[in-house]
Amino acid sequence: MRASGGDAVGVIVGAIVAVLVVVGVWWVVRTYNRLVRLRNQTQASWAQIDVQLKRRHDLIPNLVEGARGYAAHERGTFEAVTAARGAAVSGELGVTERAAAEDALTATLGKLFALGESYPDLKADQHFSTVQAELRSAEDKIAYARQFYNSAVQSYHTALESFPGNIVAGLGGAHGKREYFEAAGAPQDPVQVRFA
Amino acid sequence: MTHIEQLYWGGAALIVLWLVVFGFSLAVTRNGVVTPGPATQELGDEPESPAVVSLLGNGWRGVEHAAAATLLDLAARGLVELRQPGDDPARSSVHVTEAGRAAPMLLSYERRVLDRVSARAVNGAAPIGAIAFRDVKRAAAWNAELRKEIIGEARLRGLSRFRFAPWLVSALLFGAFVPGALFTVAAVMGGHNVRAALAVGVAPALPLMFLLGKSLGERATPRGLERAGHWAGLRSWLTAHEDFARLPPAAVAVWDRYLAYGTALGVTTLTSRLLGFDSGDRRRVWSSYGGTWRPVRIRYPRLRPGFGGSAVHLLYLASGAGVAAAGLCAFAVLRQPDWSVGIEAHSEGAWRQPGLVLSAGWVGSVLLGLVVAGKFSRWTLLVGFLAMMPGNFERDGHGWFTDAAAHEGPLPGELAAIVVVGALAVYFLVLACLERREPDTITGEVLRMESRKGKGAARFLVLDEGDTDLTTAWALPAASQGIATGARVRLGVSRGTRTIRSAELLRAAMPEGDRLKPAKQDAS
Repeated sequence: MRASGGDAVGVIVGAIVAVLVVVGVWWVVRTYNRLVRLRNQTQASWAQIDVQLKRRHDLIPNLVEGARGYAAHERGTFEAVTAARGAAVSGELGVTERAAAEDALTATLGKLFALGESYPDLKADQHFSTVQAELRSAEDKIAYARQFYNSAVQSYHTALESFPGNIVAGLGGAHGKREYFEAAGAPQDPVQVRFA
Repeated sequence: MTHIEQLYWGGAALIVLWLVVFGFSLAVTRNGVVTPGPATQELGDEPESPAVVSLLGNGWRGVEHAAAATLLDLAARGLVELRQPGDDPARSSVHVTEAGRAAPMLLSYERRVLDRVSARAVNGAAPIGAIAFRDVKRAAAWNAELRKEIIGEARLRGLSRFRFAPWLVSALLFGAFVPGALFTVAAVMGGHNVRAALAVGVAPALPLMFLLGKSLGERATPRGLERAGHWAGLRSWLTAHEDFARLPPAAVAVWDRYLAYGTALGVTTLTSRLLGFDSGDRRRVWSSYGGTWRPVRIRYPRLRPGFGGSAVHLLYLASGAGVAAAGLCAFAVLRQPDWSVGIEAHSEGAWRQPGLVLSAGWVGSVLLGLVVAGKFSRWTLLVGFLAMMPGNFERDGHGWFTDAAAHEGPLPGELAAIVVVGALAVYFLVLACLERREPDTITGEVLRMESRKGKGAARFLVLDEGDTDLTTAWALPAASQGIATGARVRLGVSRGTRTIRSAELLRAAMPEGDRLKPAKQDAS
């Protein structure tokens, strides 16, 4: 039995619709998987930062104890470092808060390193030098890990905000934005210029 | 079995034995499997240089992108600086810093890359596009030396080793000649002359040596495999960061050595493409002639009639084109419908083939012109034969062939062909006359020189005269000596055929030039 002309048109239209549906589903799945991959990459990048930060936190007590023996009366500096470390490791901080805490810790560590310049015996101490070098190395790695994390977040946000990621993210849910690992920083006052 | 047969069979058995031993050696010395480590950003405490990593990342087969990775590594260490003035990364420039000029302790391949950049720098800077070589052979030689130095470093670190032990190579090399020796003895005993016997003896050794030569190379050590696994982890890490692949060379200021390692591992596609130490883009070359770096676009006149031709050759071409035009003209005027070929068919009676006559006439005229012009070859004969084919399939008397055959006087197509071929004849004649004039003199720097296909074909020579950003290649006669790229020369040229008649060397190509030429030479 031969199909009529109307049936043939129906079959063709049906085939086209089926192809479009398959392509559409494939497109949605592909976009969704890309979003998942980018989200996981931000998490993996954050884990790298976490590893490096923990390493730094573990090194700080050694450094403080080593320095205390040569500069016992610099108690204020030691307490500041200890407090800053405590703030950095305490509780479940958000990304921005953690960045701020780590920056504060970095600032106090700078003061601790400066003691080495004031106390030649401390500077000559092998243990202090070694821990100091390790800390600097850890800070370098943190800086790179931070770059990788922020780069991953940027890629993720770009995919989330651009078409078709914005549509698919809305369909799939659980695709919230991530925070950049940046300290809020001190508010900057207007620059004062004196002409005389 | 006679002694001679025994010798032949013995030789054949030895070839089989050689192949078995060779195959076994290949199987035993194949590279182990690299187990990729977890994705990580860690480089390690004393990481290998990016160049060595490129060897490991390429499975010990090559050092692709090693030069670019080394340049980025030098930039990360402050010995050179990569600057991008605008949005286009291709317009980046490389600057040798004070630290780079101070020549610190560098590995040999790092020194090689830094020297290359320093050599190309004018006032301490060069566009990144100017790093590429302008000469294919020179680029290949430079990269081969670089590869050797990188492999040397990898061996020193215990990451790589010869694929075959020296004693095994010697044994296989010696073994490749033994079957041939038996064949030679058998041939001499069989009464053949010594030359033929020697040829028979050498013949089996050649393919065996070829096989051996192709398989010589590097292979991993256990430590090398372990390190390759670590670098595979870094590759996974970098690949997962989508934006990393699109970073420009100047991003090394932010990403430091990561960009170098990414390039070495083939992750950063843009830097690998822009920092080429190969023979570069043949249609776009950076030139510093005149004191300022600028890109010069090059045209190669491949289809220009008479390009690189001498006066005699042009006269020959003119006569060829003239004969073809005359042949076509005569055919168009004299052609009659009665010339159609009559063919006896089996059942349908006689029918005629006017198309065959027409196509034969046209093709014959053109082939005659080609013969006179010296361009006749088996390929043109084949094309001519194929061009006549439509005439063979013209069966009835109502096709356009029939109408064309019945047409009185030249057809429009014939007329066009006669005009074109005739104009070509006049053009060649005029060029031949112009060749008798005194050549013009031009001065500039040789940017590129490359051969063309065909025996005796003039070579392309690209000269930057410093007054334009677009230049057209000149024809350097095949018989004349080459001129090194980078040399400053004064050329005597014929503008009609763009042929170089004479060349005078004003300044040798330094430091890239490897062929210094006599001060004055006749190129014709």
